[in-house]
Amino acid sequence: MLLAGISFLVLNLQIQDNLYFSTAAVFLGSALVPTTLQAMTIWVIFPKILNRFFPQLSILIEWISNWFSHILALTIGSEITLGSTFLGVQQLWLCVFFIAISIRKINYLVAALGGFMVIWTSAIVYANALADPWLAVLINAFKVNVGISVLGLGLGQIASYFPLCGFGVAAIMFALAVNKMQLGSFLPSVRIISKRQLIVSALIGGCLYLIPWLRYINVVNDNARICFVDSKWINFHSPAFDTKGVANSGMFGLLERALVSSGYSVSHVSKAVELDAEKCDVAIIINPDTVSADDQIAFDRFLSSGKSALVLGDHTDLGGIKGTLDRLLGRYGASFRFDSAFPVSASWDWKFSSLLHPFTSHLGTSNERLQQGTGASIALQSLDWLPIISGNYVFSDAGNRLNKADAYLGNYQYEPGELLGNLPILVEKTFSKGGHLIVFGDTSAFQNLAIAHSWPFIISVIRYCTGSAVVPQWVVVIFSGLGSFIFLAAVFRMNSANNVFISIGLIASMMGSQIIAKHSKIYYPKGDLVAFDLYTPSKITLDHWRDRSIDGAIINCFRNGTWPILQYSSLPIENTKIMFIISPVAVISQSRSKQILERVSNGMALVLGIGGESATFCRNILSPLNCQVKDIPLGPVPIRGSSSGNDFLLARFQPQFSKAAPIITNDTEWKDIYSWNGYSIIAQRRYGLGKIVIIADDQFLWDKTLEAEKDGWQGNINLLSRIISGDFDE
Amino acid sequence: MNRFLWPWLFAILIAGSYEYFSGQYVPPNAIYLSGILIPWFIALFVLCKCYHRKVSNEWEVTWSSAILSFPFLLYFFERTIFLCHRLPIQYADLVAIVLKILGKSVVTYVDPLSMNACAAVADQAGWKSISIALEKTSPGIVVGLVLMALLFTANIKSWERRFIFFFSCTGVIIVWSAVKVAGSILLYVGTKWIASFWNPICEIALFIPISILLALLTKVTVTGQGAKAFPVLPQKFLKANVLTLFTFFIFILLNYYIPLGSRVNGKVLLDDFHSNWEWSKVDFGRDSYGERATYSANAYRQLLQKYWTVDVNSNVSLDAIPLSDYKVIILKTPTKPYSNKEKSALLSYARSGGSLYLLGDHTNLFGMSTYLNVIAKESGLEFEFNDQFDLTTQDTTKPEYSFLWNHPISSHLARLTFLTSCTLKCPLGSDIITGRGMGVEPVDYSHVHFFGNIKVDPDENWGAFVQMASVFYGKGQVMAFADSTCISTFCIYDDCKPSLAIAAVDFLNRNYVHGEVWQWMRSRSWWLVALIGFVFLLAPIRPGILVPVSAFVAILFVLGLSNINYTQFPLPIRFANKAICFDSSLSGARIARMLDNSNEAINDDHVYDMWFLNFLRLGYEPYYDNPLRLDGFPKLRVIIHPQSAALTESRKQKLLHDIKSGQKYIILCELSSVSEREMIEKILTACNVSFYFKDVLIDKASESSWSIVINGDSECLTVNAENGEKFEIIRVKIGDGELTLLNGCEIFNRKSLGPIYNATTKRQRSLCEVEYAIIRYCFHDGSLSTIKERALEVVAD
Repeated sequence: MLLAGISFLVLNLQIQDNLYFSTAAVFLGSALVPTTLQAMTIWVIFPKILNRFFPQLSILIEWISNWFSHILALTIGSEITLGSTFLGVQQLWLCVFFIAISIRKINYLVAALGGFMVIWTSAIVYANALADPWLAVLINAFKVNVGISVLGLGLGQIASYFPLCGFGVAAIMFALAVNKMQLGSFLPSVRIISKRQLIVSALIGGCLYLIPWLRYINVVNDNARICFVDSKWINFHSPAFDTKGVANSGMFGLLERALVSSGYSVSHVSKAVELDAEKCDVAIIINPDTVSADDQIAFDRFLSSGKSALVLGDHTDLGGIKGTLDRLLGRYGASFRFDSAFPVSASWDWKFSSLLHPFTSHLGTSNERLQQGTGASIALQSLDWLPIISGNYVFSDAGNRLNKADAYLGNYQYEPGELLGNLPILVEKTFSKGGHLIVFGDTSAFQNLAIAHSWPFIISVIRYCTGSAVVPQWVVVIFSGLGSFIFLAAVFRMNSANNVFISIGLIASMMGSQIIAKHSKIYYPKGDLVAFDLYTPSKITLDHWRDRSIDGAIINCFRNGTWPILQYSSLPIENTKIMFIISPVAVISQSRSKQILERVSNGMALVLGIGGESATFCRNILSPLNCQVKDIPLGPVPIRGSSSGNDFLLARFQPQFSKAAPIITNDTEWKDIYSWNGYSIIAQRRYGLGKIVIIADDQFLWDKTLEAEKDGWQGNINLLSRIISGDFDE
Repeated sequence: MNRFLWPWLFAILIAGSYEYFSGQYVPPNAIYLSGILIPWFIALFVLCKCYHRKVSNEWEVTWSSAILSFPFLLYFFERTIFLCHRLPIQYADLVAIVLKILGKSVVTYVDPLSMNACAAVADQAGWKSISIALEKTSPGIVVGLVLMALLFTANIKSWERRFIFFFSCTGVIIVWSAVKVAGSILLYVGTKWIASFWNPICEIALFIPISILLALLTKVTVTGQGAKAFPVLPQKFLKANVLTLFTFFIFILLNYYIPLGSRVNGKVLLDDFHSNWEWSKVDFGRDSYGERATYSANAYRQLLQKYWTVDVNSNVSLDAIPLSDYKVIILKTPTKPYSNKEKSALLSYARSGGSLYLLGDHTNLFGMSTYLNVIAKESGLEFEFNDQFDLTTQDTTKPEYSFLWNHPISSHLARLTFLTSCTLKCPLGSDIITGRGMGVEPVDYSHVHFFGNIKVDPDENWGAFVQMASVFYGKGQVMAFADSTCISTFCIYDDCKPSLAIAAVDFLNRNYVHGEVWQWMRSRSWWLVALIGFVFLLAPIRPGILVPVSAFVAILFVLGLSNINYTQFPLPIRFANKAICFDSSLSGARIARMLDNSNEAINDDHVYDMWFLNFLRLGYEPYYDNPLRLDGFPKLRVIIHPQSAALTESRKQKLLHDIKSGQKYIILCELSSVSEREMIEKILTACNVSFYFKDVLIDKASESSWSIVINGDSECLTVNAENGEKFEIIRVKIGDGELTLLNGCEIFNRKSLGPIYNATTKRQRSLCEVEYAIIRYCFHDGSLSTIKERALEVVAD
């Protein structure tokens, strides 16, 4: 019973892949001993399975939630807006329903639904009206800041997690009650299944579970013509040498550059009305400034002809885009909210869930690939849409029209009355001729700052857009209905074989998605690639705006005409011209060092940003080259002391290190590139066809030394540019 | 099953609550105390019930007596387990295995800077380096559970089964602690919520599942042993019990009693030859401003000179002077290394009975930790290359002393604020000051003064660390203190820092006969703990009330030793003839955080540190209250922004008695404040002074200015200068003493006079001149007209 309750809680945490893995393991482990517990667990997971066949179910439940909240608001006479979606209500809603139905007693069904309504009502009222006062009472009672100090939770988290625990406890109590009813009598007796049954059920389970993929079978076009619809709110600048600061590196210039170098032909039109299905396969509309009736008609004609469109919007009616986007999308039943969607905790990591989809296979659970920043949530009024990516435990931070200075943003904090729960942020609609309309509430992932991180996701989206759906939607619906029926039948005829069947189905699904994710190729732009090694543990972070971030180094690679990639595996990537290894914290093994040196000897450049401490971890690379970086802290070389303003301005054109250490070489091959007071700080040598550069300061390539959010050190930018472009080769 | 489960749950709750109640990570509060008391009272109830019925089950007696003694025994973790931080890399490997099972990519390594075993955990945002240090395992709970396993063995009669039970429990606990660390890491990686590593609710919750495993183990082992009420143990077991207790008390004696030799009052040598920082001979007079004057050790030297003969070595190598002439040598903030000859001379000096006092600072500043460690490491001490801050507020720290035991030196330091120190490594039992709730980050040579980001990161350490320690070395002593800023002129008279300066040198200025032997035994007293455990396993302590009573007596013993430490170490006696005492209990002004450069701190109008320090510039000794317990009346008592609510009847009578007996008082106030007017009214009424307050409108504005008019014998000066300076001075004679009121005192606060180490503007300097005139007036060395002249000379910047 306890496990059933915990399963419910885990389900609501939406840890998708691990969830399927662990649930499948539970089922398999208990396959030979069917108990009430198994039955409960299956019932708990059933809504999830159903959701997989019919992703639109979440939209339906959102409507019901919305309607119920509205009725509740009228009943209690509150002026506040109540949440439209709420914390895995969809799961519990269905869970309770199916448990009651399967018991086949109408009075239990009524009792279960009644109990559920009480909990749901309490939770909505609590989150919207009571969480704040209760928190104040707790703080006063204990004279400590209970929310922040002891629990480490803010109001949004308390409003989310406490009711969730309430649902969990209720689920456990319900499970106990059901257990008391001797549910076993409703279940078939235990029997051991045969090998044949095992294989058949495995095959059927696996096949059934792959049905949702039918929807996404798509034929891509590698030579597609892509057309941007321009807007005064966006620009297509790329990082340039005359601007400094990662945040000043332009908006969508790199997206355009990457699409061109990936083989697509790119054009621009000024308005949607100019979209011509004969000349363009994919339209990309970003923050449109105007949308007229003609634009709407042209856009509709474009989509109806089997072409695809990618529409990117932004938060809180920035520049009036909510109106234009709503005009564009309104006829299809979608609109942007006047909000920004924020997770109740600080980060988007683990706070979104995605459907199995060709372009979500590389996403993972952290925000690294999605690069969701501050964007709007999307309201759906039609079941034609698929909510591909939804934020979990996010709230819709209502915009503030008075906050003109800061783009109408709200207060970044959950307040009772704001939507709290699962909000769609990326949705898709497929048209009858196979074209796709993909709408994203945020533009961050496509911008210059983020594109090196999000490229695997972006190229998947673009490639998906270039193709058209093969299997008609009505076929998908029929197959999904059939699959649901078989699953339902399996659940209601609970026995060992069915358990194994469900388990195998789950495992097949999970493995299928894993296989697809691992083996679907990531397409990089053609040209010189610069790999930042993330396979080796290091001190750098891929988060933005931190001292240890490498956004500055990434932007400088773009400036110098190369394309930076983040390399997570040890497998070489084609066209890699330069490889950066920055401040490693674990030993690079001998075999990998050998592999790296081999690649260098074949023409790659290796740049090591290592200090006195981290050099010990690169010993397997440095030893064969007769080179050491001594653990002598030289500090921020060159040490200048206090200087006048003019001297400082001049100094900005010279290199400045943070935490330098001396390089000691016993080989004439090595050439000093930068030295200070007789200490060599940067040295280079040729190795086969390639070269190795050692920057003996593990912080030199970090944002804090090279280039941060608003500014950069010109001397370091120039030095890095010369290293990348090979100025020191001769 | 339940009867075996509850005791383990109680143990987790008590140990977890104790860890937080003792302030290891977060400030203690009453919730944690209830986590200790509730299970404790339940255990007391169960044990009483067992004794009352006299037919109880042996297991109930065992667990309830163990739980009763548990909180007392946990106290002994404070100076032992909680001070440990590093774990072997093999433990990090264990955590890595758990993480790998959970599907994470992880690599372990030893961080070359902090020497922590670390795990680098991969997620899509890069690698997260996380130190696998003891504090991440919840050491209180882990070692507490091991202790409980040991106590529960009292219920098992066969020694083989006792060994099996104890070591299997220990194994389970260690493995689970690795699971717990892995769980915390996943929580952190998923949420970026670093407090999840020390949040008490997370910590306790993550350990609850282990109680089921341990209960199963207990059930399997204990069942079938036969239940007997209060078994009579064989005679040999009783002897073993006595031996265990005796050993335990020896352990306490070695670590909690601090032997004090005979006071010799020998000469003190301050070494400036190796130090180009905290200079000992920089004058600090009325025109001394700026970094060199305020960061000097001049005031420190002068304070020591009031007790002992102090020489300064400015230009001679230490091996070239007769060190044996001195009893204490202070090696402070070296900025250049000691030669091998000097090192030999100093160590030989210490071995033959001399005392070395090593003063270092944070982050190997100017290389001082490197230079000091050459000597310190020989004696078992070590300055670590790091800096520290408050874990939850990132502010400077105050040491939280133990509520039962204090070192003779720390017993005189009720109120002490560190600026920023490093931490010390020291042998068991040699700690003097331990800071808790600290975050510690390793040196970062790329930052100014080598600080890090003054924010705790997951690859760093936190918890309790030693900041002052002392060991016997040969016939002498070596003492290390980790924050040399505490001796700087600008803050040497702050809070209890004068007591620290005097108590430390007084502690060293003694002859010890058996110090070396004591040190040898103390540093090996871990073996006694092992012996106690071994005897426990071989011959269990009889379960029952004897266990908690013994633990309670042990605590009383510690308390007694603390009292002995305190009473046998009074500070040297001296008269307060030049002392100026700031009465903090009656004042609303705050003791400054002197190195806080935030706008909020610089503009804090209730901070009067420069006013306070200016007494020192005139050659007086300004103290907050009376930290050195000086005899006699101080030359002047100062109250700033008097607080009416603080003046109780007894306090009022004392103040009145002091004034009438000849004590001089100056009260700095703003009469526009109702509370301050009330206070002045209370004092003057008690002194039978006739007066009234006057409310004057300023420049037709609604703002009003309050002043006081004394009817009778008094002197008064009102300054309302064109340059904007407005204040009022009234002096009244009461009995043999005097009361001076300075109304409009805010022109002398930090906002007006500037930061304490940086008074350079003309206006600030001219305001200091006004203050000097007021001080001289208080001592009848100046006149009101001089004050007025100085006030009119104040210039705007």
